[in-house]
Amino acid sequence: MITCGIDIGSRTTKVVLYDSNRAKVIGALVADSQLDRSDNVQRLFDRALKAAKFRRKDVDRVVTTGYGRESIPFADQTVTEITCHAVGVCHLLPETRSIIEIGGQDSKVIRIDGQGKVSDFAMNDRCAAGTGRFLESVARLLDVKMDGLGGLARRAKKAATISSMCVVFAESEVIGLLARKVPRGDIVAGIQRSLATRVISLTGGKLTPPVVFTGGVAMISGMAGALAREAHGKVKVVKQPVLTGALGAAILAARG
Amino acid sequence: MKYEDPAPARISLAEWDRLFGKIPKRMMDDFRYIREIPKASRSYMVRLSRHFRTGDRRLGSLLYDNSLASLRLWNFLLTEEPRLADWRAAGRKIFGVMKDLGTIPVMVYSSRKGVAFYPDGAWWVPCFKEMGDELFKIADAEGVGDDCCPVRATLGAFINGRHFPIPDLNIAGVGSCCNDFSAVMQRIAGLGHRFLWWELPYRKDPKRWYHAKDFITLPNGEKCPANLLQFTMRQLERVRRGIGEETGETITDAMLSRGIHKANRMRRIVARLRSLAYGTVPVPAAALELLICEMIVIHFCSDSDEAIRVLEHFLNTVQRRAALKQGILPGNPYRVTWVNPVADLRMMNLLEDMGGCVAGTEYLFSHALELIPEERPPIEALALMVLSDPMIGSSEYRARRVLEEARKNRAEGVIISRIPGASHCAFEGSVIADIVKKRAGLPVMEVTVPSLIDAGSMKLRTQLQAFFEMLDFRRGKRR
Repeated sequence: MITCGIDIGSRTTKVVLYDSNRAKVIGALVADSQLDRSDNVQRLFDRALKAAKFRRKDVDRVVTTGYGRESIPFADQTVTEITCHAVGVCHLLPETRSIIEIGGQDSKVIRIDGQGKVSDFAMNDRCAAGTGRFLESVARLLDVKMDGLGGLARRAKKAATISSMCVVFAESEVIGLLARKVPRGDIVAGIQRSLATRVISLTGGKLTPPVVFTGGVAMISGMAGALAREAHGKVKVVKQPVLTGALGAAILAARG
Repeated sequence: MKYEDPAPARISLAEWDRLFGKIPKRMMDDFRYIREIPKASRSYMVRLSRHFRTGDRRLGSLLYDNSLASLRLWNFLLTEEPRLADWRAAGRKIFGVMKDLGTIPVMVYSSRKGVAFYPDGAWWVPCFKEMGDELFKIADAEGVGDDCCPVRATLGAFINGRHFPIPDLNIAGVGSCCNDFSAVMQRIAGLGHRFLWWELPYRKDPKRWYHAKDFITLPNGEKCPANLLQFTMRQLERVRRGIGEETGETITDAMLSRGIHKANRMRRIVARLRSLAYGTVPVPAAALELLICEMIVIHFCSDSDEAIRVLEHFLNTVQRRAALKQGILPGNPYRVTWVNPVADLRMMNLLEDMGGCVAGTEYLFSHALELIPEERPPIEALALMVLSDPMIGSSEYRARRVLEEARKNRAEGVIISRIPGASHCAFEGSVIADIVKKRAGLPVMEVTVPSLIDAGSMKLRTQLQAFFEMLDFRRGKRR
């Protein structure tokens, strides 16, 4: 059975084609999300099918997830990204007991039971301080691309102290640090630590290992280390973290 | 003259307008408030859209129970402002009650010359008016910004004087009261409004905090030192005198006993309603109307006699549905015990839209749902109720109440709602969540519900859907 999972996030849209008979991903694609979600997703879906040499009729079921999940008319079912990331991560790393997912506009901590199912979750539900958007605003201030943040963080000698819990105020702090000639790497490391503190606070101090880090922000080097330090334990980054939500959706599509 | 309700459903404002035309006018004319003063008595039944047109814009986003009893309930709620004005015109003294939930109104309504209402109910005005009322802006201008609880809307309402008649006397509980609420009440007093302050003591765990040997058991099953009861009774005696001085009469024990008896009548109706609505499958009444019914118990909606008739009418409807096994929600909704009232009423609809239903509540005033002991002297009985207030005790006590509700109504999970800037205890949510998870193994989710959820509704939808996906898995495991 061929299924498709589509994760329509606030920043990017991810498409995964999955062959359930072979339990194998047979096509994947990531592109920027656009305002006209439905048309854009249709185009991406067609592109993914073409690249994998399939036609629409070859796909048995489509499950959508992410913030745009309800805007796709050809979806057979919608499932939240919380469940989808859990299924996707546990498919790749079945021993997982805790998942940290940081996306463009929110972050989640998901607890997994012994059967690979969600047993509890917490989500930042108000501000952007624990999300990828926080890093984006810092990247803009430092005049560096998002994928350049990790390189800067690696050069950090001492993480700068960011005291504010609010993105807007933290931006002011970053401007102040730049004015004081604090190295950009130290600032990025400080921001990563601040973000990690916010996310780990969602766990209420309870994070059962093994802990797996997923979502788009997991691709930025230094973030997993910052989370591990705050969590006082190991944090493993899943392979292709940006795709786990769409992968989970595709697997759930196969389960029916 | 006959009218039969259609099959139960949740309907929009526009659908209610269409249905309204089918209800015999003479039948609705019989639904009147202030019946005891014929010249002040009025029929209050109108199309709900009339309230929408006069500024209650949030009504346009809600889904309503389609029964006549529900229409009556909504109209009764939405006519409280003119009703208070009519009472005043008829010579009644208006008492603003703050902080204590449910006990002081029983005392005020024991007098035949006083009417009580909760001015802090204005915290719902920004929601109903979809922020078009500017109450928050007025509070902002007074230096009470959005880092304060939405109860700051009350300050705005006292300043602009557009939402209720300014009370002749405010009776406000202090002591075991959160800082924000206390600050708002003091700012209102600072404007020159008359206040009678009385102290709500904190109900500490007797074993840990007191050396006194003489403990009493409260109606909620908790224990407290006997001297705390004596103290509270003295406070309520002051309140009794204050009400009497304002109305120019002596509030006797016999008057209080009659008031307690009437309050208990109302509480029995609501207890039956809660038991049917939260415990029956298929679900015979929606969460939104039940929230209003529960709220009426604490404030009587400014007419205690009509409040009883309104609640009885709704109970009859719900009983009929339960007997016929008629549900208002489709399918097999996920059963959730809901903790804390929401700032935006739309949230209760959203819970049901996403496939859930309310199976038990703990809206911070569970003591007001319990019967006041009529066998005790009235001031003592009322003091016992004051001391049973969940807000003056530990979070652990509230957690036990939540557990009790969840067990009684076979809830599959618990949702704790928070209001940005508001909490009488900052860590209460996590304390309750931990205890519920540990003792009952139930999933718990905390959600933040602002005065208007529209901007964040996608996030709330995701949280609810994910919670129900989790409950679905648990159902699968049980099967």
